[in-house]
Amino acid sequence: MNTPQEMMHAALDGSLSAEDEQKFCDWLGESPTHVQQFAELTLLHDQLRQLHQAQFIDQHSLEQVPFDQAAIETRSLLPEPALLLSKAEPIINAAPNKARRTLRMINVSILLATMMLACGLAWVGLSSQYATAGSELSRIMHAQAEIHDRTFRIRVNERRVGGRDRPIPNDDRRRPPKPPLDGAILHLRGNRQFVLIRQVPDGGSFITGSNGIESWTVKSRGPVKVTRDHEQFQRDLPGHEHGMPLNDLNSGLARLAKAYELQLAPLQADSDSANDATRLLIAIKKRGERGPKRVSVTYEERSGLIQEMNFVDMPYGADRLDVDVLFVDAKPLPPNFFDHAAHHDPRRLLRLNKGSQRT
Amino acid sequence: MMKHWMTAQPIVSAFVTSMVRDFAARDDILQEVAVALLETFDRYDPERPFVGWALGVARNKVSNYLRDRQKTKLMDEGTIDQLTHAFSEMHDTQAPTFKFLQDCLTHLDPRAKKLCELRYGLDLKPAAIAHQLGSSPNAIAKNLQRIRDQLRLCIERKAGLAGGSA
Repeated sequence: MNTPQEMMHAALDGSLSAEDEQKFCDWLGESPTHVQQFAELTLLHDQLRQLHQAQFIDQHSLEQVPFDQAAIETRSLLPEPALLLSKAEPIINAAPNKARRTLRMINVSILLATMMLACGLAWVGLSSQYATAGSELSRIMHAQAEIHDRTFRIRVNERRVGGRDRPIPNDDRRRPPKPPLDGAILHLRGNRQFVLIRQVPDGGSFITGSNGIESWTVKSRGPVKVTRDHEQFQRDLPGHEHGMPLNDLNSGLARLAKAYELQLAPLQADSDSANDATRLLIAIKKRGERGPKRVSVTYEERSGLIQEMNFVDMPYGADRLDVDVLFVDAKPLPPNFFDHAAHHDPRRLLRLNKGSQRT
Repeated sequence: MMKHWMTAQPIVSAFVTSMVRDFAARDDILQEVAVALLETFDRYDPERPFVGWALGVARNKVSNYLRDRQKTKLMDEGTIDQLTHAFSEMHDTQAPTFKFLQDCLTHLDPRAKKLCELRYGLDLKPAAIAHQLGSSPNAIAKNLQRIRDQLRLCIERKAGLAGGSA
């Protein structure tokens, strides 16, 4: 190495020998001006990397090329079967249980806030009927918050194509048809984590999910798509357009308290056991509010646990659905169940989606 | 927190790169920094610059990273102090010029663009690039230096024009 300039560049390219590295560090320590020069060059070097990583991801984004074609191109460009994520911009969620714990705390805080809102509305209720229904809604929300994992089955009763009352955003127009929702299995954890498993006509499955920090989709073929936008694949669930995504039951329930007239149906008792008694809460959308026209929540009288929810005229892309969400069980799922890695072969290609610069 | 982090992230990222010189390591550390900032944000004093606080956290994470991997620090503490200060000061002056970089890249000749893609898109070192292009590592290193110098001048020129027209 001849000049300090050459040493700085070589340092950034990892080309310095141990001896030259020592010389370089000595040179840096000689003057704050040297440090300043190196800092400026490093910033450029680092920004070049960020920019190229983003461009590289964009160029091979599956939004622009078919799955299989993207996979082939990527394999030819990368030195080994590409774990692109390991080289790409840091993903906050790959880390960390700590982050998950923190986000869980945030979720709990949000939940508490929404519960307070629901409770407040219940207290303010103008009629005893509303107050009772509001209190019950609050109790249902509280009960949901206490369950870690829940599994539901989705049943589509009717689908009205194009029954939309507002223009379809361009993003939605460009999106391919959604896989069938009827019969899909929905696993939930907390307010943000979900796994939605849909069967596609060719017999395979189409799995989308989020661990609360990143969202992802796994098809039976092609690369696994991952994005740091934890809400991106939430669009695969009906209700997200109007603040009532099925993956976030408590947000949906809080919205019922705000935008719906609540009515509590009389107690229904099963013949087998009084413990199985269920109640029905009916929510009718107020004039001027957005969302499904009617939502019915069937829940266990004793525990407050939701057994079934029925949504009438639920927005789903350009369509409207009458859809039931049926409780299956609350068995604990594996800790990593909401990570994409739990749903595909580890050798599958990962593609970090474009437009996912959030941390 | 997110707004602060989005603004400080380029500077913190470059600071970490200056200390470890390896993008994969930088990615790992930066990820830990983001998590640590999120966890301790309630301890942040809003009267003080966020970037300074984030750089302090990053410095600790780099130390931990090197210690855990039994690697020695490349620089002494005094130099790291100066580096931390330099990056902190650059937050207001240099970081905004990032927006010019993309434009400057478009003016590179095709071979220079190819070299940038190999170096920064695929994280290849000069020796690996040389192997791929049938050149010598020294020639590739010099070309990369020339490209970065060219980009730096382009950014400075654009920043000057933008400042003059403002």
